[in-house]
Amino acid sequence: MSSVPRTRPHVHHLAPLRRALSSCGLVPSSMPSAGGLGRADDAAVRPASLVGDAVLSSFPCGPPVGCPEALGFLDGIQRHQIVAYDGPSPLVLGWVAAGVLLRTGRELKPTMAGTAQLAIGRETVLAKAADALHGFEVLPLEPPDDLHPAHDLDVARGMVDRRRAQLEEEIGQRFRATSSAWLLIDGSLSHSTAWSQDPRMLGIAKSHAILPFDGRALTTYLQLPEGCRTSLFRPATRGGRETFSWGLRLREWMGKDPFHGLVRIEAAPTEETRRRASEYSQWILAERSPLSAPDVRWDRQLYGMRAVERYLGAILGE
Amino acid sequence: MRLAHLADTHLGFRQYHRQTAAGLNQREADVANVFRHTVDTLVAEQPDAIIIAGDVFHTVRPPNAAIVFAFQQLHRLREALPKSAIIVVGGNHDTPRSAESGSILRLFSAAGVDVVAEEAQRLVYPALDLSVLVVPHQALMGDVRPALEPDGTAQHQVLALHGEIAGTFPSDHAAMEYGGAVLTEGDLQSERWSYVALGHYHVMHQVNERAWYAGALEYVTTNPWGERRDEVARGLPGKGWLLADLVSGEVERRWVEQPRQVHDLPPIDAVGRSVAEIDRLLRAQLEAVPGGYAEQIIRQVVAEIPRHIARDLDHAFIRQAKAGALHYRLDLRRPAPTGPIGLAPGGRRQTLPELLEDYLRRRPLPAELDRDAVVAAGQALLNAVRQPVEEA
Amino acid sequence: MKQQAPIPPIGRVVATEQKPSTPHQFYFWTARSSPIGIGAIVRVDSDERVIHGVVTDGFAYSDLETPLDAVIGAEGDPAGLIDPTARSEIRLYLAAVLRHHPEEPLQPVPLGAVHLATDADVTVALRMDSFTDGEESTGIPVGVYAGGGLEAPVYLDADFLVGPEAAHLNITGVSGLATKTSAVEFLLTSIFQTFPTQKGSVAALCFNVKGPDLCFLDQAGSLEETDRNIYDRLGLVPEPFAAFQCYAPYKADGVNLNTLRTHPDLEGNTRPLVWGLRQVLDYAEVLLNRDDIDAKAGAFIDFLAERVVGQEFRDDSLRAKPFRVETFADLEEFFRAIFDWMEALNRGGEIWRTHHIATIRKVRNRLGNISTRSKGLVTDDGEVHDLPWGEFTDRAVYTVDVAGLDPLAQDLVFARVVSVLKEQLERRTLGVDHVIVFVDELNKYAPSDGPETYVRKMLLDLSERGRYLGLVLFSAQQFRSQVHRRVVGNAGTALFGRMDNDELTMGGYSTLSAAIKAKLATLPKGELMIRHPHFTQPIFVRFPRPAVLTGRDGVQRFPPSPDLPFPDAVARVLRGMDSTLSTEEIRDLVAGRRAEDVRRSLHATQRSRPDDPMAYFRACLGRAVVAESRDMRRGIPGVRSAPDPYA
Repeated sequence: MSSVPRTRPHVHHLAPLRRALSSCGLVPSSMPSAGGLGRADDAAVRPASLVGDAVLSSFPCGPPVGCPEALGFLDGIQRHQIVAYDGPSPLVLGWVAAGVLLRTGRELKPTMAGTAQLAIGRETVLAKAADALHGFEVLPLEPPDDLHPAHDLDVARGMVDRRRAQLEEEIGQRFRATSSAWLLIDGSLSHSTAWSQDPRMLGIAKSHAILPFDGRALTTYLQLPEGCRTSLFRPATRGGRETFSWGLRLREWMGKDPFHGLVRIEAAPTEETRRRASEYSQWILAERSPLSAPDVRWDRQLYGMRAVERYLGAILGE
Repeated sequence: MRLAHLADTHLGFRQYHRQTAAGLNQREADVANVFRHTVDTLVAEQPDAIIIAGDVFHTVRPPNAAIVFAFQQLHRLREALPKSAIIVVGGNHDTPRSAESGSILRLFSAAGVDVVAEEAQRLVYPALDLSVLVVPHQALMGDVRPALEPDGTAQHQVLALHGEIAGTFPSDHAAMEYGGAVLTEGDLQSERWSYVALGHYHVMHQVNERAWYAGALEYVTTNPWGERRDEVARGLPGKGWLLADLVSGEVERRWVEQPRQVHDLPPIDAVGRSVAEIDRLLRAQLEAVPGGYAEQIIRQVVAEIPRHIARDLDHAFIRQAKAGALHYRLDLRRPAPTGPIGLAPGGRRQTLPELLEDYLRRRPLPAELDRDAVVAAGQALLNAVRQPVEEA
Repeated sequence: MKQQAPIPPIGRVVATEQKPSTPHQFYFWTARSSPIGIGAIVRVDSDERVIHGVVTDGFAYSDLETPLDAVIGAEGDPAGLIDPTARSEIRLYLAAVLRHHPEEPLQPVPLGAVHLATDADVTVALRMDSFTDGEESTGIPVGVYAGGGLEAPVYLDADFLVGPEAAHLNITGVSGLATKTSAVEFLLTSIFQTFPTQKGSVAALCFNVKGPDLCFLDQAGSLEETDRNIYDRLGLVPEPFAAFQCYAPYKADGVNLNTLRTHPDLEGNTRPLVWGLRQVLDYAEVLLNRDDIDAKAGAFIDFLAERVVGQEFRDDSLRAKPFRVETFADLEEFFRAIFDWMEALNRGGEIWRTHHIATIRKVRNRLGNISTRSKGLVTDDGEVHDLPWGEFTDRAVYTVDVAGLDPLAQDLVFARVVSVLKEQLERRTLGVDHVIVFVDELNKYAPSDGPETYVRKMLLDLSERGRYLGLVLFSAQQFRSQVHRRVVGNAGTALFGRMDNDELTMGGYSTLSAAIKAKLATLPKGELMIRHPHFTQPIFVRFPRPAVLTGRDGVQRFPPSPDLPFPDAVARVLRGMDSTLSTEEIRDLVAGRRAEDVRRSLHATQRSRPDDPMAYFRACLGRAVVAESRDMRRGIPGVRSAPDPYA
């Protein structure tokens, strides 16, 4: 497939850009961005509703079984950096990339990828820097509530995050337009209508910032034994689409923390999902190997997902 | 087991003009007498085998007297030695060039002796435990020579052969017999025989441990003095035959008494001598011949004698000497022929030997050759060719 | 110069601080499925320059940080479930630079696309354009470079292989794969078919030191399609050597040849090699220096050679008759005379003409040894069969089969043949301008350690000065490290077949990468690594099987005739000269004859090669004379009464 980007943005070669911005009257900055490598979610409990079962229970899924069909991995990455200031107002550059590696046989092949580079700042900043920003998507910051420059950065980071999610969704749709292969998505399906209804997509959420249960059910959820899944439930979302979800323990957690090896799977809210949840779980269990180390989240991160991230990182010139 | 080995009897040989009372050539008679005497000795010695290794006759067609004489003598031997093997080998002198002519020697088998004149034959005498491979001259002249190998179980293996062993004859060929078949010493493989009886070379000579030339019984050559010189060089008193004991390996030389002697008187150098002086020397040397020169065969060389001196010699005395001796050869050698071929120091024209020496002293030679040796070899060769020419 | 390759690149140069590009080497990565391998020739295209290189090492990496991760991933069970995803892995290669274009300024290899070499690239990379272009090409095909489906011809430069710029060739390889012999046979074919005519004539002389390897060079072997394709690709015709002669000494019986090439069909060009005293004496030093180098013995041998043998030697004190020493038997007689003389002197009889009796005895023993230990090589009857000195012909191969000789005799053959070649090439009387001498087992003849021997001195001399004379040494051995450094060092071209691992650890191979060594240790039959003055790096080539019968096949197709009974062996030799002769006739002829006489006659016939061998042989042998028994008989008395005519 030829949808792998040919011209690639590069997150490290910024010196020419900084010189250009300087000539536009901005003050170049090289301060590394704090927390630039991740997304933050506020930790919270949002109780879900069970599907079918009255009480949250755990079920052994059976032995790991590799997905017998071609299987795609979809993930995205994002980077941002302040490159200049105009007075107190920063100019933030963001880079996002999303792509799919499709596994046929045992080989992962880049199948589809997209990137975008963003320039985010207040209108005045962007106007001043306009001449230096060819090739960037220029995104003005929403009218500020306060003047604290740190706030600008948070907002800009959120914009990059959303742009990444958007790019992932675009890539997902483009992939689905050309292939009916199973697709594993890094994260939740609920923010996309298409994804939440796709019968051949599974979302793998590694983050447990939002917990679906409390009380006794939470104990069951967090003490799920290795190789077992929970009953199906509908996660509560804020304005998200309905999906069926279940917890799955990939690795033995005893002696570690209760989140060790725990992922939450999402799939379309269909009867088939109810019927095949254990089978899907077996597929995911098979993906524990090869180990995705040295990724810090190796207990939950699938090797295929990490491969997508490395691939996208290489595209961004990391 | 005793084997008498004689050779080159050359019956019918004639030389010089002296005749016997019966009108026969004196030398022919001499040769016959020596042979008869030898037969007498053989009869007395009673050897177990007698080999005459070729050239019984001097020519292919010998005089009738010689034929009759040979028949008588061989018959006499046969009768006297009934148990002995008597073998006559064909030599180059008595074998016709053309095989069709047939050899006179065939006749003599009638005398009871074994004659081998054409093909090689292996004669086995069981009673004597003797096997003789007889190789006449003619057998060596064909394309395929016989294999010179012992054979059979006989204890005594003898090879009788008439021919020239290369390298045996003196290099100046003074006593050379031409026309023989040439073999190498290796061809004989003497070590494989009890005895090798050779004929052809007129001087008695041991080729190697077991191979012998018996030599002739008389001086039957055109150059008796050369032959005599060979004998002197080899320390031989004269002519004879061999008596070999095949068991002990001992070979006894038996000398025969010659009816007359061959004398080569010391050469007289005429340079600076007057006619009278030369005359005196001629006379003195002739008279000094032991036993007197009458009936002897004598040569006197006078070197470097110019024609005018020679002319004035005492020819009356010379005639007297020639009449007294059987043969008196006065060999007057002129100074080297003069011609514009070179001048010796002092303007004298060089003699041929001088000229040759002069040339050989100057000629470029390969470094490894010894120049003195080359000069000496050259002189020897020159002498060898000069002598017979001057005698003739 | 820049190639317009329609094919996409197979790799890209990478250069990092840890693995930088230099002017002499660079790294590049490829897809896992790339056909690149050790020894592959590649081209790097960048905007400014083109670089050719040869792959000398390869690396594979996965994204594993520590092996522990793999263990954890498999839950400690190597037999566990196969990973649904193969770990990503990359291939990284190290290439040594063969050539830069432009050559100046010499710079590090730039980042660029890496292509598999084309035919034209191989030519340029190996600098073969400098000697294969034009009318007077001096290219000698040595094989094809095979890489990525490409088979590009590789040439050696005749000026550097046969002289005069450089010369000699050396092959190293384990025994048993026949690579060394095959390579030389093929290369000789190639040289004979492509050696430029303006350079003159060339012949080859091969010493067969073991088995039948070099005995069937005139017989066609079986080739496979792949071999024929390579011949075709190199522009060569796969055919055996048209002009071939095999020389071998006799066995001790003097009639059966001491070689495996004795099949009746091959007798036409299988010749005996027999030397006499003179031939031995000239190289007698070979016989001496195995145990001791002795100037005194040398002086006595010189005396024999210069003053005694082959001429009349007079010494009246020994005996009156002059000596004529032509054979060993004569020589023995001569020695005996000396010893007798000394014995007769009784006291003080230790010196004869300045030579001490011990020296004389030593020389006699050594010379006697060779004539008894190598009966088939050394004749005692003076009949000599030698190589066709002065009549060597262009593009002819002469095999001298010494496999059956004892080492001392091998040395002798070797020393004399090479020395005579040298002399005749010096005087330009050999008949050809160049001779390639092939010697296997070089470590035996020119070892790196051990005493100085005549043969080793000669090989050193040959390898250092031979090229000026047109005398070229092709040598082979299993262990190059065991051969004298100056002999292998002077070989302009070196070939390496499969190598022994221990040998590869020797110092001489330290410039080779571990990967090249690994490849050499497992090199398949028919592949070679080549060092040649024009190539800046060793190159791997594939060469076809030689178009001649291998020794093993040769012995199967032409089984050696069993050693025949003496008469039949004689008949075989004579029938080889005239096939119309009947064995019966010959058998009858020699029946009952002494073997020595038959042998002598046979050798004389072989040497003379007469029009009518039988007649000649018969003449040499002589007619057998049968015995006839005689009784004593009396003669007829007829003339008894006649008077004695001379009385």
